[in-house]
Amino acid sequence: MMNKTKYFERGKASLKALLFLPLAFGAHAERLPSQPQISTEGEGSGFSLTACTRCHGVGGDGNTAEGIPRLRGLPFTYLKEQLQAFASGERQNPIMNSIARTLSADDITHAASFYTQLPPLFQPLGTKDESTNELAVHGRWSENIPPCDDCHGPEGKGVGENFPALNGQSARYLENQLQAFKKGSRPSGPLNLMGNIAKKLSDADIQTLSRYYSGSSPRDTGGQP
Amino acid sequence: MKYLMTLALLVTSLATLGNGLPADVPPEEWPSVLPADHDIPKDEFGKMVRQGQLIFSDTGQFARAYVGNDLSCRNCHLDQGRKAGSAPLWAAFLSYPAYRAKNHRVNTFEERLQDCFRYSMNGKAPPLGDPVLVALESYAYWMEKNAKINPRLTERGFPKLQKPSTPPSYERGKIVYANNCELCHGSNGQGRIANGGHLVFPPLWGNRSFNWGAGMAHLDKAAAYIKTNMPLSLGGSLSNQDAWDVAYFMEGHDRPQDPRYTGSVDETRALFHHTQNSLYGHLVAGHVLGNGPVSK
Ligand code: HEC
Ligand code: HEC
Ligand code: HEC
Ligand code: HEC
Repeated sequence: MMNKTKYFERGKASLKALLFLPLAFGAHAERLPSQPQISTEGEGSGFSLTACTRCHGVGGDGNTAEGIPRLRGLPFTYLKEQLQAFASGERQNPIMNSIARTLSADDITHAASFYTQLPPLFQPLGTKDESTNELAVHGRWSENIPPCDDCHGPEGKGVGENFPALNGQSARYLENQLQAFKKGSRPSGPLNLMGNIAKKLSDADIQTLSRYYSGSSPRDTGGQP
Repeated sequence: MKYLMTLALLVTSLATLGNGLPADVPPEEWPSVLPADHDIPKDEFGKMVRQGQLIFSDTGQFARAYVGNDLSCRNCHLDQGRKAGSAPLWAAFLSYPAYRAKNHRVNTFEERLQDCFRYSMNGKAPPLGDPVLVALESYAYWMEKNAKINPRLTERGFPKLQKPSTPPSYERGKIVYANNCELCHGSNGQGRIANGGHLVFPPLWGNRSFNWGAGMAHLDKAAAYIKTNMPLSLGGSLSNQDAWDVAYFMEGHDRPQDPRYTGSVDETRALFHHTQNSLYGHLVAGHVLGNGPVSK
């Protein structure tokens, strides 16, 4: 119950921030990042996004081999909540914990609004073998696991402010997160939805799903639609 | 005859069935086992089954002419019509022809399907024999024929939910909604669209939802559905009282007119909504329901 109300309060706070966002950008509209590099400078706070681009890339693409997530186009509320959870230590990751602790509330808002406005980049997820996306599109209702796509959207492209896209992340990153939810080293998210589901997944499920959403399952190339 | 066949099937399948289930589940509670998509035959009949499944999963796209809202059959009949606790399609197939108080006569399965389009889908009934009905019936028949059904279980319909200890309340329901439903169904019950434009969280009230004639517009059915299946993936987690309260809050908003509307809300209520389980025609939160959705 505590957890629930907390998430809703957070949601409201970030909604307000979202309302002010256009204003904040409007004030220096001529500097809106048509090229991302332009806005990697913090606005006078001494904070610079180069602290992030070093690992997440200037375009927010992340790094597949290192398991560094793609941030471009993720929802503002979601990004902000994750940075807050890294800062408080609820979401455990040594690298991001030490980085997020140095960020002010304004820095977090600035970083989240920068990455959210970069256009997302999705890849085709076709699969040759129906069993590799079984959980993603059909779920396993006997254990009350709905299809992942029911919450993360068709092909995992994300829904609204609270359901991040899975499409576009690397298999390594996805696998790390599902294991983290399962172990409890990452908070289980709004209504405990994600933690509750991850605890029902086997290691084999996690591997298959991570490969599927990263677009690295063997794909059907037979020319069939 | 059907019963004997399913019994025989059940006996032959008990061994395999037992393997996947926890030992503490007594045989009379073993759920029926349903066929998987890859069991659909690759012949002309199989093509019709697949078509029925497509219609069931994305009704607005595959039966557009008969649909007047944003819902699909699968939004209420979960797991593409398989899941017990959400009026599974295969169990319904077994149960018709049947007498229905709604129209005071015996209905065939096809006629029952027609009503889903008129009310739940707020559209119009495909004519008997229409390919849309043939496809849906084929899908239901295929599922039922290949299921290993436990004859000791009744999995038809929605489970009955005990009456709440306190009469349901709009105000309490509003709080339950904000804490458990709004995240997905939106602050105004409008649902949510995924990146890419596909509706993922269906609307619960308003112009794009089911109409006043639908089964889901009854408090008892909505409360039972919600208790068993919502919040998505957390079915069973709400108390009975919360389920009734939030059902009342949901039904306390307006939705498309009952297609049997006579021109007067009072008369339509007297003729078709003469039950405690319908809020049609009632004054709720300052609005007489049945006069059309109001934008807030
Ligand atoms: C040294 C490399 C590094 C730097 C620098 C870095 N990150 Fe990260 N970031 C990571 C890694 C690794 C993860 C994955 C952590 C995990 O597995 O939980 C991550 C995760 C994240 C996430 C979670 C994304 C999601 O989908 O949940 C956000 C948000 C994020 N970083 C934002 C930032 C911001 C903003 C900055 C700059 C202030 C930054 N990062 C700097 C390595 C880095
Ligand atoms: C009932 C809704 C729901 C379902 C079903 C669901 N998820 Fe999630 N998932 C969420 C929510 C909400 C979050 C965000 C958690 C947070 O805010 O910390 C999330 C987050 C995630 C993340 C972290 C993404 C990131 O960028 O770090 C992964 C990975 C994930 N889900 C994978 C899956 C997979 C795989 C499935 C299918 C087995 C699945 N989810 C099914 C609700 C759901
Ligand atoms: C808004 C939710 C909703 C939608 C959408 C919906 N239904 Fe239903 N359906 C119900 C409810 C409620 C019942 C009544 C169950 C009861 O009386 O216990 C029902 C009953 C049925 C029954 C009879 C079940 C039985 O056991 O007698 C069938 C068959 C059926 N629906 C098929 C469909 C089909 C096909 C579609 C799509 C064209 C559809 N439904 C769309 C909610 C819905
Ligand atoms: C995690 C997201 C999520 C939450 C939270 C959630 N739902 Fe749903 N709901 C769904 C999805 C998705 C469907 C459609 C299921 C499908 O198509 O498989 C649905 C279907 C429904 C339906 C039937 C379809 C319709 O539009 O009428 C009702 C009624 C409903 N939900 C009510 C509720 C209520 C009441 C709550 C809160 C107690 C709730 N839901 C919480 C995701 C959610």
